[in-house]
Amino acid sequence: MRLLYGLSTSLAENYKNAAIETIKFAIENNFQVVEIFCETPDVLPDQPDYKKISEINSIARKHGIRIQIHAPFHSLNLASFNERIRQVSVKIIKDTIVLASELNSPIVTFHLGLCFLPCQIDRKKALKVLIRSLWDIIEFANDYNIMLAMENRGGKLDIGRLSDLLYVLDNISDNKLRVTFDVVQANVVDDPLKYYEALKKFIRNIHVSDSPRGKSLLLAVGEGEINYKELLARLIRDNISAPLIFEVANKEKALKSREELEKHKKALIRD
Amino acid sequence: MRFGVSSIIAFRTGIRDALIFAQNHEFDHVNIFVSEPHFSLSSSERDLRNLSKFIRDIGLEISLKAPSFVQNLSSLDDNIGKLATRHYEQVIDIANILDANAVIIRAGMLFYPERKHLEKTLQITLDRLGYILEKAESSSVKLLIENYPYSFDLVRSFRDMLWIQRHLDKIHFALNIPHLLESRQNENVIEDINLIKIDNFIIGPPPSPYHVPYDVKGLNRVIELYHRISKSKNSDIILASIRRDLVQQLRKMISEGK
Repeated sequence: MRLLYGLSTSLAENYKNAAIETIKFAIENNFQVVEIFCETPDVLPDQPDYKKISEINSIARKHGIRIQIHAPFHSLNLASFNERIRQVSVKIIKDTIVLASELNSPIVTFHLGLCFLPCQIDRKKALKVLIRSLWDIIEFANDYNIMLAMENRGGKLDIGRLSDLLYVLDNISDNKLRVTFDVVQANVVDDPLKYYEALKKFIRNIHVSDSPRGKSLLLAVGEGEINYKELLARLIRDNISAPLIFEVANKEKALKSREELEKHKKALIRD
Repeated sequence: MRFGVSSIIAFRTGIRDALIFAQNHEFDHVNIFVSEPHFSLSSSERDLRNLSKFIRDIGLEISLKAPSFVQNLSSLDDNIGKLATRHYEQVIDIANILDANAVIIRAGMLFYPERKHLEKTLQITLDRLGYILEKAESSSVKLLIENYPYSFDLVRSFRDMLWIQRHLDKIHFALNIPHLLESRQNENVIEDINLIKIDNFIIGPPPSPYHVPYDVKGLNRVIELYHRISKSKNSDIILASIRRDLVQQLRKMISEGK
């Protein structure tokens, strides 16, 4: 089984040109996928720079790089009780879907939302608000034939625990809504293997970094405590072909992470 | 020293209930927590006028805590920045109708994009803050910034407050003691406090009075820090918790100097 490796643009050094810099690094180092994090000024969902989009498309097509999109998430809350905040959040995700379509990305990764005091007191109601927002976004995404991948999150204020994702999947049965499995975010709150087993049917994208349990440090695979060998064994066993996107602190850590995963893969084949 | 209470004491039951609680327990002041579904920014003028009459009848002073969960004056995303500015303007309008004397806001949050463009971000933040300050001044409402504990917050420490004050000298502060404790920014700079215009101390359980779950065992540390700070500064207090018994306990601990 060939693993599909990718890079997040969050590891670029020149922030103003993060997408192109990351794509060039991916080409030079034989990565197959680049996930563009849409909060860098070169690729903002509601201010499309068509020259830049065309440049990205042209380089990506020429070198066979698959582009995928990560929606903005800071200050967005699809579960907000404040209707205007909710609407702005929905709008930004929809803008991201349009951008994804222009960049030929088949998938948009997004965060579900945040849980502040009103939600902490009435989480059930917040989740209902979330479902309403998601239906709106899914219908829009269907028009563009884009898959939406909600990411699991481990932060204190995040909506994105395993139970949240399972609630959403229980309430929305649409094959365009799937999961980006963030291994280190699962590791912040629980055993990533437990998350994997519960979500594996829905996983279409994987964020990879390493960290001690309970933390999210963006270390290279092997520098933390996550059992990547076992995770890889299960991915191979279950024939999951989702790209492995390195969301690590820098480029060196991405290279190191891939080397480490390839080492595990060889050992697994040997065993 | 005067005591006030945050309306989150009656988060589920609503503002009027908070006002009655404050009156029954002889608080001087209620800080209204503007967050849906507790209190809506979209309240009609008629509802606000009715509430204003209720407040006058009850005879308490009022201030407003603007919505501050995702509102981000530092955001480089114009959708977010403009929405935060608009929300704060609306809160000032509501303060006018309710005859509130102050509005408490969050200065801004510096996430990945904002940190990468720090200089531009700080200028945008100061511009937006300046604009809101002008609006507040023209309405005779005092604008207070509350410190938050998170690493991405623009105002966490006394040093951050001094920086804001250097640029916008008419801004005052509401010092949230549990947030200060949680941010671990309090150790070496307490001498700076006399340079900062602090109108209110906000006291509640750590890590944040606006967060569930909270750490009841941490109350002693909050009170201890408050007593250290209040030796140099004596400002009005807003007690903030969703639990009435904790508010009473905090008041007792502060009054008895424990």
